Amino acid sequence: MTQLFDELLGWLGYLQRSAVVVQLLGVIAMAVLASVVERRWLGALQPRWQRLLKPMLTPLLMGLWAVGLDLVGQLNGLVVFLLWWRIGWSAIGLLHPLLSNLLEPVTLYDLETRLLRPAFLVAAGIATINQLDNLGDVASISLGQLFRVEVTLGNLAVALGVTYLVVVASSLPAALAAWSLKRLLGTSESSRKAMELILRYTVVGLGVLAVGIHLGINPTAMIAVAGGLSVGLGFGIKEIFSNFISGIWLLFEGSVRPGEVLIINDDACEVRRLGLRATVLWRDRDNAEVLIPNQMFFTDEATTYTGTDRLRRSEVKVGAAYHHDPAIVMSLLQQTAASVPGVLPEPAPKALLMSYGDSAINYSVRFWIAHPMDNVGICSAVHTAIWRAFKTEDIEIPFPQQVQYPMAWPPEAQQGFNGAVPHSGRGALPPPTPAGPPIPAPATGPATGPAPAPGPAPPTGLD
Amino acid sequence: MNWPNCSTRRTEVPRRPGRRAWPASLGLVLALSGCGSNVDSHLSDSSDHVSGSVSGSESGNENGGLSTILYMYVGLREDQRNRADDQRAISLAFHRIEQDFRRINPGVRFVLQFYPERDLENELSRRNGSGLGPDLLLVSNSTALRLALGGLTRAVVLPPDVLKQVSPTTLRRMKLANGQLTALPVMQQAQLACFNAAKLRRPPTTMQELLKVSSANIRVGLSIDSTGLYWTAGSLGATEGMVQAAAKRPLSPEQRAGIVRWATWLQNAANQQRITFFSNQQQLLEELIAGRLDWITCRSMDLQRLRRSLGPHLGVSALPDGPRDEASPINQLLVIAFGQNSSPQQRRAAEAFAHFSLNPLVQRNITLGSQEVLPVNRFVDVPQEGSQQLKAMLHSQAQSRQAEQITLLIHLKDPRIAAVQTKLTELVFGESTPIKTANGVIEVLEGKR
Repeated sequence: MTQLFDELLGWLGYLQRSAVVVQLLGVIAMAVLASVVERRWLGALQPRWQRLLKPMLTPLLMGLWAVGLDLVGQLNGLVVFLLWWRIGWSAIGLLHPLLSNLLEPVTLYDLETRLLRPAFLVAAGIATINQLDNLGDVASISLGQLFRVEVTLGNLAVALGVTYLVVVASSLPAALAAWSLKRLLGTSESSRKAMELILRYTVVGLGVLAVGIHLGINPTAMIAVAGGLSVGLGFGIKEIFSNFISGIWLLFEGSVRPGEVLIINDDACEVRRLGLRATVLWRDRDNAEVLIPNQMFFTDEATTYTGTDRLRRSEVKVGAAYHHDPAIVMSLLQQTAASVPGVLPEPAPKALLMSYGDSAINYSVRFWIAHPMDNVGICSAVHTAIWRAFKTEDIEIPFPQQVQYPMAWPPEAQQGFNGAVPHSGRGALPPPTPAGPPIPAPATGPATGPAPAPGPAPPTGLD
Repeated sequence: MNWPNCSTRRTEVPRRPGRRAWPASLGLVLALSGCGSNVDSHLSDSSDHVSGSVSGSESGNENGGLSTILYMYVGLREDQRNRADDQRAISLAFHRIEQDFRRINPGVRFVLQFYPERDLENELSRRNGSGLGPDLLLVSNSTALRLALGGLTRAVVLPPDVLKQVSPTTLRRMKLANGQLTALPVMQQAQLACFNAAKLRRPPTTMQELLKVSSANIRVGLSIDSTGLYWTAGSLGATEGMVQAAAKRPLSPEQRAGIVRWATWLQNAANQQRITFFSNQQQLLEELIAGRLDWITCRSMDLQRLRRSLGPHLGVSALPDGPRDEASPINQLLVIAFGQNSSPQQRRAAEAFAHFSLNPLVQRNITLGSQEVLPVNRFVDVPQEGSQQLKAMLHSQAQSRQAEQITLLIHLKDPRIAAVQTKLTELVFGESTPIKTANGVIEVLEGKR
């Protein structure tokens, strides 16, 4: 490390040369000027012109500086070098609109932030070192020893670069391979996603192994590391390792794969990604992403609608007045459910008389849907259709009613009272109020019995 | 070169700054970079200096403790390109000189960068335009001339008291046609004979003996490269004729006969079962190391590598002389060339270092420490007692005087070198006769072809 630090300090000696200082100061001045122009004048232009001019402003000013230096016979190679890299950086920004026509926003974002821009910065860094020093000399700087193998800066940089590249860039080849296997074997979409993930892990694992071999670490040392890690895993990073292994196990088992629908806290959620540590699920209700550690699926019970097939049986409950013939009601319920889009005709919807309630006969209509995540929407549609059908057929949906009225205290003071009221004996009671028409009040009194409502009340259902 | 000492390439090791010490670190950075106060602040005549020390207030410690950083490119031979141990050895060797130099100029730091000599033109072309070129280059004389002719290094004017330490002939090898000095010679390497002492107890001292040992089951390797083969011209009495032809003067029949004799010997050698010609020096070394050759021509700077491989079996001797004259090896020089981007302060420090490297004590220490190079300072006596290697090198240095004339007449980029090479290759492969080759070589040297 001392050698590396010494090397870095050595580069500062170039600042003893006026030609270098002039070039660098000019570049900095141009960057500042571009920033000022951008804020003061560019903002007044139309957005279209702003988008066009903004990436070109700094390179343009740097180019002018390079030309100016050349005209007065000064060295400008450093300015030209920096100018090319600045143009390259702007070019990545200009690529964005072109690539956005070809790629999805998420893919494009990943491509830009994880591959293009980091790769550009690394290349620019290497080129800069190559300007200041001999790249081979810098790469050969020793950073110390790892398992009796000398680790140089070059080795380390290559190892980190390859690892990063393998982790970031392995997704596309893995996706292609999984897609090909899906076409070849005719597997399901969730299996394809599982295969993609397994392939990616395999490529990353092999990449890490290759990096170890590149560094010259012998297999015995790696086994020793694995042994040491296993002890460490037992204490420090047990949870992480447990989650990782659980994730791989779940992939092989096939119970939790991307695309599966699980019930989490009574909400249907779709599995989006099975990560190294946690599974990401999407909850339709509020468009939230739920992160659940993998080991939860491994140890806790989970309900899935997509284990063997993707069909879901759903149910809507409704009450009808006692005076309607249950056979007619059930027939109507079956017909109504079958007419709702999304309800599968086969197996056919089935209505059942569930119980005799306080104010209504309780029915249930059960039907099948193809996509578990559509349950709430289809149930809502069935509820609405039942309300309309009952209205059309003049079937009453009763609901309990409560009548509230104020009471005077003591009860003897109440007009017409002739019964005893239990006394709680706690605190003062409110003073009697004069008799009058019933008014709504927060204080509740005894409720009356059920009273028929003039119109249908909303049925209740699942979810 | 093989001097002991030190362990880092960058030789001044500053302390790593801690978090609390960032203001101090900033100060250190500014001090090392020399920002502000010493950016081209000392505009004065670059020739105003004394040997080995940076004059006046430019010395780092006299200038508020600011360091002057000198960037020094070290040229590597092709076979050293990927050899970290060779580079490390050079770093260590350089560090010893630097340590001595820093006793006089404590404010000067060196940053070494290693490049194969053949890449230096590209590297300098690229960096000179940015102002990031080197201050000094430690390269062979041929590379220094090539760089100077390409306008990539600057000519240097040195005081007479410095120049008089080097022989005028040696200095003339580094001068351009207009008389400008392109680089300062600092060391000389010698062309020698290297052999496997386990196979060959007594090395051949004459050309006849060389042919004799080859017939006695000793495998001999020679380089077809015309510079590497020129030593045979001296042994066979061809140098006079070659110099005469190169100077475009008419040759006497004796001189012409000398060249024919040389060509005849070469063809005779090529016909020997155990004498093989190789296209470059690198192949010769590899063959000797691999045990497929027993006697080769080598350069003194190859000795360390050979010794690592052959150990005590490495034998070193001077090249065999001939019946008429001594061998005429062309001994390469190690020179210090000067970059174009230096600030005035760096320029003065660079020239002070160049002067310092000619110091008799430094020259002597380098020679005795490495046993791979010889001093160019003509006032330095090298004690050769007890070292067969040094004795052989000094003998080679004496032999090389025969080649001085030709090196002054033909520069490395001269197209005549390649043309002579072609003639010799045709001869060795039996495509030409000795007389035809001799005539061809004369015509080429005279510039008629």
